[in-house]
Amino acid sequence: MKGIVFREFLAMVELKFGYSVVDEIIEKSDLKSKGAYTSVGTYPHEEIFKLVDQLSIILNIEPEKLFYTYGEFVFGSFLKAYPHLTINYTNAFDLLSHIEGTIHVEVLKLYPDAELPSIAIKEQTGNSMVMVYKSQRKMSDFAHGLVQATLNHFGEKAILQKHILADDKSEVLFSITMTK
Amino acid sequence: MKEIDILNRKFERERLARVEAEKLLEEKSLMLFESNQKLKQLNTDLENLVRVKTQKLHATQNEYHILVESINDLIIKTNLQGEIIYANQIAGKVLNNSNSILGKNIFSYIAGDLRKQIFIYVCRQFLRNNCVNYLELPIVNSNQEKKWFGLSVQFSEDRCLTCDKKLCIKIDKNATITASPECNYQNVIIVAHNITDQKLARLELEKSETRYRELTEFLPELICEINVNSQLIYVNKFALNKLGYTSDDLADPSFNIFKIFDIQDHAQVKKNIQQLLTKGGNFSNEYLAVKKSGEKFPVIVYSAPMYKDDVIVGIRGVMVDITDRKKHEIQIAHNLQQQEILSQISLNYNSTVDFEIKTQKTLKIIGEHIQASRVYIFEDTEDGLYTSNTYEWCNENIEPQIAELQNIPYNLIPSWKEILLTRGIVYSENIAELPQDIREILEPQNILSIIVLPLLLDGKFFGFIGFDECSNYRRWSKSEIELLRTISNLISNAFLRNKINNDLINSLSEISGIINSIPDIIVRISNTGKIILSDSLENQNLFRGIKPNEEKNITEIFDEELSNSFITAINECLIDGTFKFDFTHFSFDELQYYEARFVKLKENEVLTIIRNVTESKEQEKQLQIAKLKAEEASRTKSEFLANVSHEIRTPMNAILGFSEWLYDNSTNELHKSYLHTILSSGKNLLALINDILDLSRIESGNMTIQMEPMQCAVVVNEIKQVLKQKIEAKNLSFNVNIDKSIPTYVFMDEVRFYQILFNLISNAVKFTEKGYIQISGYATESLTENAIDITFSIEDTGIGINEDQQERIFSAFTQQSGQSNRYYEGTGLGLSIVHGLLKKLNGEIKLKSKPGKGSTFTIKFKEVRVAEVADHLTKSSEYNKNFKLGKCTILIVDDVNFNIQVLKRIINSDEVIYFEANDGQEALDILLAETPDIIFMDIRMPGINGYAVTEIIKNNDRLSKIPVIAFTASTMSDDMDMIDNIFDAFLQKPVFKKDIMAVLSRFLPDKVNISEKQENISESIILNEECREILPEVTDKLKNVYLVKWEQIKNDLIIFDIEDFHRELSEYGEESNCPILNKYCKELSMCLQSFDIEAIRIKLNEFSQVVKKLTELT
Repeated sequence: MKGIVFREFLAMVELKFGYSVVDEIIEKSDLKSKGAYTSVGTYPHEEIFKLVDQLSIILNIEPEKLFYTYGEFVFGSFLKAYPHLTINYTNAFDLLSHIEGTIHVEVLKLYPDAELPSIAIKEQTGNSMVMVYKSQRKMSDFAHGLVQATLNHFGEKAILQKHILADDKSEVLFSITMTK
Repeated sequence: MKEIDILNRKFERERLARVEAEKLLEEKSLMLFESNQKLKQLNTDLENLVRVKTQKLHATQNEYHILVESINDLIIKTNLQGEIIYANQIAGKVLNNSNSILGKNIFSYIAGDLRKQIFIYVCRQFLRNNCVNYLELPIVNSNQEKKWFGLSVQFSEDRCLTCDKKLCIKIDKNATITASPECNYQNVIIVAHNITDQKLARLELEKSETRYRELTEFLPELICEINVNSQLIYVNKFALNKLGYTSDDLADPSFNIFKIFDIQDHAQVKKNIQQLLTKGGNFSNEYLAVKKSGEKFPVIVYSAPMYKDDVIVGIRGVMVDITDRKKHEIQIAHNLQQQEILSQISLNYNSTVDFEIKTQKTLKIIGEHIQASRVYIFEDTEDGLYTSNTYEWCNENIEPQIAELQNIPYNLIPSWKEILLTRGIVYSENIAELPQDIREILEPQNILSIIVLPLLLDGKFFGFIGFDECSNYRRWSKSEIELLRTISNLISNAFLRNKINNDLINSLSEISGIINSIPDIIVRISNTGKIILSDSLENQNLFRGIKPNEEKNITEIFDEELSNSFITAINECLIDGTFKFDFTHFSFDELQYYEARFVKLKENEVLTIIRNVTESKEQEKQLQIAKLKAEEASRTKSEFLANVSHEIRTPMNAILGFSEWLYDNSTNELHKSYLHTILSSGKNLLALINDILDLSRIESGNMTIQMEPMQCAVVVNEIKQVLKQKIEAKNLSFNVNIDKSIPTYVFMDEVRFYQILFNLISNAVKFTEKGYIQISGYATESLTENAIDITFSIEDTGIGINEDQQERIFSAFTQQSGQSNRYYEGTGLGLSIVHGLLKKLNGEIKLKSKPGKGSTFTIKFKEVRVAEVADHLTKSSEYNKNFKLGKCTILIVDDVNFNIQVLKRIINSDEVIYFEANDGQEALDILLAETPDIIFMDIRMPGINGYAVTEIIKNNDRLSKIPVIAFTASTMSDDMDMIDNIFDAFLQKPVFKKDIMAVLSRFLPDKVNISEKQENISESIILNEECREILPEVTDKLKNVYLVKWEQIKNDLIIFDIEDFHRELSEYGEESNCPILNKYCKELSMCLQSFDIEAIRIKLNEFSQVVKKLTELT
């Protein structure tokens, strides 16, 4: 997993709860990287789960919710960090439908070793979209947050529903229905 | 401390992260450098490669260009709208005569009707296949030549990298194709191969193929095609119909060519088929074809192999039905035979010598030819009641019947002649079918079959020719019957010729007998005057110089003058065919009259018949003398009568005058009664004289008729007035009924009309004692235009006339027999005069009468012309009274004379001098010498019409001032325009008096006198200004002089005195110009001329009233 995901997670925790909480979850997580992440480096993805689990213990908040919140948070960071990847899209469906075909392709050009989930568009009409998230990282909550953040970014109101297709959450369906 | 620890740990982590980041950065930089080096190397390689490729491409492009330009196919690049953006040379050459075709639209070279269709096809192909593989289409180039091309079309780019063609190529509703700007599919390449020659050849081939099929389908010949297995693969419609098969029959696999041929021909057919299939060539054979029905008919078959790519694939056979030809061949042979026998018979009869023998021979020829048992001729008696067998020929072993069949009465066999005449033939295969009467006579002769044909001379039945068959029942063919009919005609003709010959011989001897016995000289003379045949001419005085059988010329016999007349006559006759002339000749010093008739015999010969007509000439002469004498006598008689009548009338005046005076003054009753007798006898005598005079005038043809406009009603009324006294004395009812159909004015001789009606009406009065007299008049349409027939009937309830007398009463000096002259005075000439006058006036008279009941005389005047304006004359009587045209000259031009008379009567002025012309030329002739004050001009006239005449007048300086008034019946607007241009004014026919007066007043104001309206004593007489001025003077004179004289003579009735009085009064009337007086004088004159004492007395008595009236006017 790319260092940016860790760095942004820790930045969010520091922003919300101060560096002491950051230090606490790093210390308790027993990380091989010792919590020293650079954005372009690559680290085992288990570490993010350890960090989230430790934060969950401290805050007494479910890890799923934390992932969702982190997803919402990190969208803005991505926008700042990679503006060229998102600037061409004018609405949420436009962006979402180009994740797989365009954005991930561009990401792979930057980070050939990146492991990306597959985002498949199953259905798309003028006001509705069905997409399926598939990844062995099982970070569908994170994805959920990102999708919601996308809608927010374009100022669109929609009903976003999540359906778990595989019990281990490696496969999740999102259905988006515009409300106006 | 804890915070410091945390911070230390944070820094430691940041440091570690930075170290890692630097390490990573260093690695990345190194990698980047290496890859940059690699990239540089690659770029260099690529540049080299591009250079090489570019060079290669240039070379290929050049090659391609050369290829494209040198190729014979058209290569064209167009955009999607079809605009040509590139074309090789040949394309320019072919499509636009070597001129540039860039910018033109490729579709403009496709014929308009195909354009849309091809466009759609191309679009579809592109959407489906990205190209058009091959398409044949006609192109019309700038020279309007049509050429065929096979073309393929594809996009100029192999494929579009950026788009899907189906999305970026669009066809809008105007059928324009557009592609998105980034799309590679912007242009297409068209490669067209000129296939015009192949295409035309193919089309031609297809056409000829179709034509061939169509041709064979409808050829009236049987056409079949078979394959190598002898199976029919094609049969044309005609053959199907002819053979009676359907196409389903042919489809049956078991059906083959042999089915349509007779079994005996199969071997030959098979052999021919085999030979054709193996060796080719062609055959023509005659076979028997078999229809589906089994019926057979002869055909001729022409067969030849069919090739495909030089291999024989079948046989085509053309069969022609030769049934008719076969029939004709037999017919011809038969006809030849018949011709032969007919010519034999004709030759046999080449002369009428030995007619009987030849007829006998003819029967033999026929009999042997037609193989009859018996041939015979029967001839009828003259009356046609009996018939006899006159010629007979019998075949071997056949019993002759001629002896038995003599003078057979037709009434024994009534059906015989009837059948022969109505059907023209007696024909029976079996005589049992024939009527009973015929059978009875035929059966004893062992006849089984028979044909009998009538023999006719000039359409008249004179006998018959018959053919018997005794051995078997024979059916004669139609042509045999026709032959026999022809033979019967030949024999009829031969009989006719024989008869004519005999008749000719008889008539020749008859004619020569006649000629010899008639007294006329008959002689043939050639055109040079040579006397050719002179039968006993020496006996004729005219030719006594000639000796028997001596040939002489006319000139030697007659003197020069007569000879020349003959020669001229002969030549005339040779031209006209006949000629006739009379001549005289001295014979023994006696003048003889001859009549010579010439009839053309030959081109240079005439037959002359000369008859001595001296005697009839003499008779004719005597007759002529007698006629002249009679006519002279008749004329003398008429003259004598006229003279005598006049001579008698003069003393009669004295006798009557004095008798009347004596009668009036005598007191002795006896004398009075004598005098009454003298008076009435005298009056009768006078009437008789007048009648005789009229009759003699009519008879001698001296009576002249003067047609003038006349009023029928007025005349009838006058008669009524004259007879009024008598009618009243007898207390008769007297009715006059003149129908409105009679125009007021008609053209009629008033005096004669009066005389006719007066005679009839006075007769009616005379012979009617009680009851009524009815006068009716009406008009009916006549045959000629503008004329009518007028009928008057005079019906009385008098004594009537016996039927046997009715016809005689119109002849002179006839009164009804038994009619007492004493009782009914009269000369008996009245009706003769009426009859004579009516003839003169184109009239007729009819009588219906019953004795004791009454008589009706109906007279009819035919084709009486109507005076059109008459009605208006009376209407405009007002103008009559105060209008008078003074001295002036008027030219009236009209081709209808009575139109001129009408105009004159309307103008009605004694002072006017009229010139009358009946056509344009006449008018112009008059105008050469005269300058009339006004001209009335008809428009439509024969010769120069009114327009032309008027134009001439208007262009002449002397005449141009004369007013010319158009006088026309036309109402056409075109005419009106022309009239307005040329004429001064115009009068419409029929003219109204007021219009004429208006015209005259306008153009001749100084000639017209319009007097003030005044009271008139008479309806038709006006007093003009002049007369009015001197009226007091006139009345004085009348009172002082004439009234005195009148007093002296009025009771004496001495004609001389009255005549003197009349003469003086007339002179004074003229002098004083007093119309009333003039009118009275005229009336008195009429009475005097008629010697009607009664009328004279009445008229004379009126004088005092006339004077009284004139006095009242002053």
